[in-house]
Amino acid sequence: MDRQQRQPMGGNRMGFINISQKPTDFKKSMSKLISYLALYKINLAFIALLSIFSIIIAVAGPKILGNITTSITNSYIQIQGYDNIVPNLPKYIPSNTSLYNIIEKSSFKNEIPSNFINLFKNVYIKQKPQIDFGYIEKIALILIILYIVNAIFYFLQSWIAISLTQSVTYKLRAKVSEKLYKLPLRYFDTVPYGDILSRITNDIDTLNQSLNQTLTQITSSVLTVIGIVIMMITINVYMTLISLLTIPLSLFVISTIIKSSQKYFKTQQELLGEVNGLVEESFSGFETLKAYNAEEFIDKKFTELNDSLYITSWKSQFYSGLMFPIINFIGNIGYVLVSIVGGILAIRNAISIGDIQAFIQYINQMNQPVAQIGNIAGILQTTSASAERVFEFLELEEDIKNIDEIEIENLDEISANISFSGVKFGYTEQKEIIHNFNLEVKSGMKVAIVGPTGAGKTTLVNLLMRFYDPTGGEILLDGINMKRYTKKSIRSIIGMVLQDTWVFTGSIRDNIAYANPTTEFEKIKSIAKLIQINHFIMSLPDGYDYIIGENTSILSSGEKQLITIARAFIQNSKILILDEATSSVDTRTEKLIQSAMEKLTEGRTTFVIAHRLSTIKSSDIIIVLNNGDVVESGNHNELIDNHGFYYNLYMSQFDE
Amino acid sequence: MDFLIRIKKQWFLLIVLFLAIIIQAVSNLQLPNLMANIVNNGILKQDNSVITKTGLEMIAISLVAGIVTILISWIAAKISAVFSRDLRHDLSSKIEGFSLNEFNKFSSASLITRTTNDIQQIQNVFVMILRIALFSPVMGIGAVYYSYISAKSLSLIIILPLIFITTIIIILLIIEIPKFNVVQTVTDKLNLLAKETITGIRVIKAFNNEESDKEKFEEQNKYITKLNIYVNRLSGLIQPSVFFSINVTIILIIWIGAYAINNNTLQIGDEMAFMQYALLAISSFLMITMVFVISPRAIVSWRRINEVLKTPVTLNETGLDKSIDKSNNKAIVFDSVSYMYPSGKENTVNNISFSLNKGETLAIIGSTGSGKTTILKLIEKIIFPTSGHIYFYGKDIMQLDSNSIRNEIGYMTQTPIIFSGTIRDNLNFPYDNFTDEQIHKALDIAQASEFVYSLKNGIDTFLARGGTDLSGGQKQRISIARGVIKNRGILIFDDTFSALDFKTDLNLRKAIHSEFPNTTKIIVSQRVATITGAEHIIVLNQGSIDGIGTHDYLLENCETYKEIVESQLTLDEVNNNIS
Repeated sequence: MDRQQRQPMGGNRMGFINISQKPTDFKKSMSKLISYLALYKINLAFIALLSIFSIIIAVAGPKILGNITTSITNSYIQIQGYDNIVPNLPKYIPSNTSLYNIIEKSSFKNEIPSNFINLFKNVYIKQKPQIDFGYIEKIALILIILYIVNAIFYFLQSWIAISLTQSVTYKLRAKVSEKLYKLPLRYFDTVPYGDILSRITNDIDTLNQSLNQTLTQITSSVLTVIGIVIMMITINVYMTLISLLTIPLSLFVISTIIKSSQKYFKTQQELLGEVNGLVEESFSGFETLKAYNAEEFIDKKFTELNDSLYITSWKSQFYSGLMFPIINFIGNIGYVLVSIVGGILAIRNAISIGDIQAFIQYINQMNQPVAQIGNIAGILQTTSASAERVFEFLELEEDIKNIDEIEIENLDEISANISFSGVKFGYTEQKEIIHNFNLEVKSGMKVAIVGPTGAGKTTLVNLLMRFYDPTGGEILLDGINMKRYTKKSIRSIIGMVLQDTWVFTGSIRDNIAYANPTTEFEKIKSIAKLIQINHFIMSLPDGYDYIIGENTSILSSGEKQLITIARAFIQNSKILILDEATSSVDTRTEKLIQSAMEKLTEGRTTFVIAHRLSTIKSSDIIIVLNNGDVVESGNHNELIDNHGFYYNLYMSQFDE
Repeated sequence: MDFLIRIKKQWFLLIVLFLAIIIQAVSNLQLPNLMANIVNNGILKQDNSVITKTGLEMIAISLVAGIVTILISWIAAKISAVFSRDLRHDLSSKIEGFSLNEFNKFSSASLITRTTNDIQQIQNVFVMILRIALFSPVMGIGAVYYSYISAKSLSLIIILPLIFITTIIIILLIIEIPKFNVVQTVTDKLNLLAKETITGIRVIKAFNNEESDKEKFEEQNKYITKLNIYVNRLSGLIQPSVFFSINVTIILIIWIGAYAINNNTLQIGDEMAFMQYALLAISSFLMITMVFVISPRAIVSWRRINEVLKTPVTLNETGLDKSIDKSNNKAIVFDSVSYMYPSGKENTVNNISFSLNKGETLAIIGSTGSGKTTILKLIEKIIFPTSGHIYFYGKDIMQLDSNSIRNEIGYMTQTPIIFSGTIRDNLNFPYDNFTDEQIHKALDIAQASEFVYSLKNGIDTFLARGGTDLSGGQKQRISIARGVIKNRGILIFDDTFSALDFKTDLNLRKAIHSEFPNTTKIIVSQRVATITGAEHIIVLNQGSIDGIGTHDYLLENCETYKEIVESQLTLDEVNNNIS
């Protein structure tokens, strides 16, 4: 497991705190991302339209509800007034007199607040005032319907947005996977695999998540705030100003908190990485640790790291934990201000009670979008950082195509004579590994390459397979420069067994039949018998259908190597490369499969690389490489007689 | 239970936290009532002084609530950070105290995840619980209580949205949670496929299998996209339904409230306060549901950690003998020793007996899985015999302190372990402080001088964690140098020479021979040539001794040994070849 995969979940909780390195070019990566989104113009337009509709309904609601409350309040005042006045009136006053006239002319004028008096113009003695339930009912029903529509719109909007972001993610993931096969091998040999993996997994996942956020939340947050502000202004400008006083404060506090907590989150992440590393180091070296009595030593180191992790961790928790309470607090202040100023304005009759209620609702509604806007910078930063890493990967230079593409149609066209002529190669320009390599290999010959580590043996394999091309000279296949064939053709005629065994998740049967999935089971089984692995496979729970999962530890490296050898038997190749093919197989088993190996190499031009010199004794020619130069060549007996490099290498096996 | 015991240590902070939470909830709950007062007695009675007085009260209460809130965040962060620090430390000490028996019950990868990821997971959830799970019920109950006080006739309305929201969330969760697991599995699978492609790119290209490999990825990509769309769309239902139910609740309150106002059983301000309380109750309720949504993951993590903490350590070392009697000539004696892994069905090593005198060399040979390394671990007391006895300089190792035993042994593992630090640090590991001469000499013996001194900073070259910048053979030689820097009386080489070429192997053995002539040596190897000179050679086959004796004796008397030797070339054969 690499570190990226295990990245703790500390960062993205609730989508507010995001860890990311700063993208080097924000504009560039964002505009690339937008160009992907722009493919879905119609969907985007729908999303925008739907969210505008649902926001209009959402922000209109409180105002309408406020109107109901105002109407109720007015009726309430009328009822209170009626109950106060009418029972005390002398009987002679005509029942169709308006209470307004009575109040104006009587001592009630002092009892009833002056700005309520107008409310009594339409109240008559004969009819006790009533709350207008018909009106309330009508508005309430309309509002409920509107809210249903709003919910549907809201849902539709997220429905469309989700398909959109998911198809973008799908596309990016597919492109990235496709890209993997187009990259030259040099890339895989130079870039740590954890880094590649994290680009095509973590970065795309982050992009997926933040895209979801950006697309729906940010736009609707901004629109909601704008909508609310407009509604507030239509009600009362002063109150709006007072309510909005808190917004810059919120934004300021939120972005400050995010900034400082991000700092701590970053250190926390780094420290977690270090703790991770230390733990990994001490657990994977558990036996050595015990053997050297180093428990205390590690414990001390761990405690130090753990203590600093503790400090940053509680600080980052503290800061990120402040966010909601503080937004809540600022919301409260807004609420209090609205209550006070609203109250005073209401007394002056500049605003109605329903409007105060609407304002309170607006302030509540605004908390969340404001918090999101405060975090926009963070979200965009994460988005573009991930986007940058993904696009960087997608824009890597691909493996060059040949000018002259010869396709091998039929294996029998090839007789598999290989000749190296003046081949030069280096992985970097500064360091040449193969200096001037010349070798004639006739069809069907068995060539062994020996030499100390770093002599350039595996490099020759890389050149033969055209994983790399020579920087000088040429390799000829049946007299034609290999570069003129398609890579696919070259690889279709060469079989290969490498020292680094690679098995994939799948059944043992599929792993063996990798070259040709349609191979009959009988053939697979007979090959497995031939190389002495049938017994082991049959001892597994499902035999040949046993799925080798992520946990491949059930197979020893020797058994894995035998499986990869079996693979080579399935492939119908003209040329065979065995690069330390049996290095992990113990010598007894190796001896047992010797005849099988001979059968495998029969009639094929074969290149063998081996440490164990016993495996190469029967080669037609042995090339001794040292520092990229051929030191000696000849068959086993000739080289032994030579008493040279090979002789020394060979004899050191038996020295006491 | 264990959880409670753990947090009991912080009882003081917890009490302060709880008090602060009550203060916070109570002060937040005052605001709507005060606002009602402004409406009822201020606006409707046209009394400015009530408004200013109540307003000031509200500001004061908000300030108190704000300060208390900051305090709560501070305490919650502190408690959870202390909690996870202690947990992390306990876990790591516990694991360091494990013998291999316990260690092997878990894979090292899973132990790493438990010490890092799982604890982080718990900390994140724990801090949420401290802030929300304690606060929300207090707030929720308070809000329901106050709403009942402010408008009895309306209080039933609150139940409606609560039922509605909970039903929706529960239904969604029931549908979604299994899907979430599938999403996780598919994500893992995608990662695995990507990893396989990257590590196997050579083989994939060599077999021209790019297309089929791509298809596998493509299939999972389609699947996860489908799943994600499905899951996210379902989640997309939550927000609109919460918003809808909150708004409908408000409408209902106003609508039904109007009748109460008409009957003069409710004041307008109280109705408005009731609205606020209803909202507070609903949001507290939502928070509580959220805790239920996030907790399961933490509970799983907690169980995984507890599993480690609860694992009994097989051996208590307190009071064991620390003195080693090195004058005793019997360095190591095995008396019918068998060992079985805790969950094993068969003995890994079976009835092993031998006696090794001081200064002698013991070699162990046998195929993979025959139990060679197990014998070495038994000597190191990293695991203990299931039956039989091991004597170390005459004393039963079960009566000896393991640290004292290990002090006497230079142990070199099969896979070399390199710690991050300089080469010097690696040789000094963990506490020693050797002179440059000693270090040079050790590197000389280990045949590592040449490459170490070709490095720019020599022995002070910094090595990355795991020694990723060294080749296998180089790592092996550094680890050998660490083992031989001090004459510890016994040297153990566990197939330590396998990564070296024959020439280096030979030189190394020669150097060890001349530097440590009187040191007891135990060598595990697959190469016959490496071990022919040993006084005792044990031939292991599936955990049992097939033969024990010198090279010549075994060639005569042990079939397995003969087979092994024959599979590797003998000098005679070489001579025949030449002649």
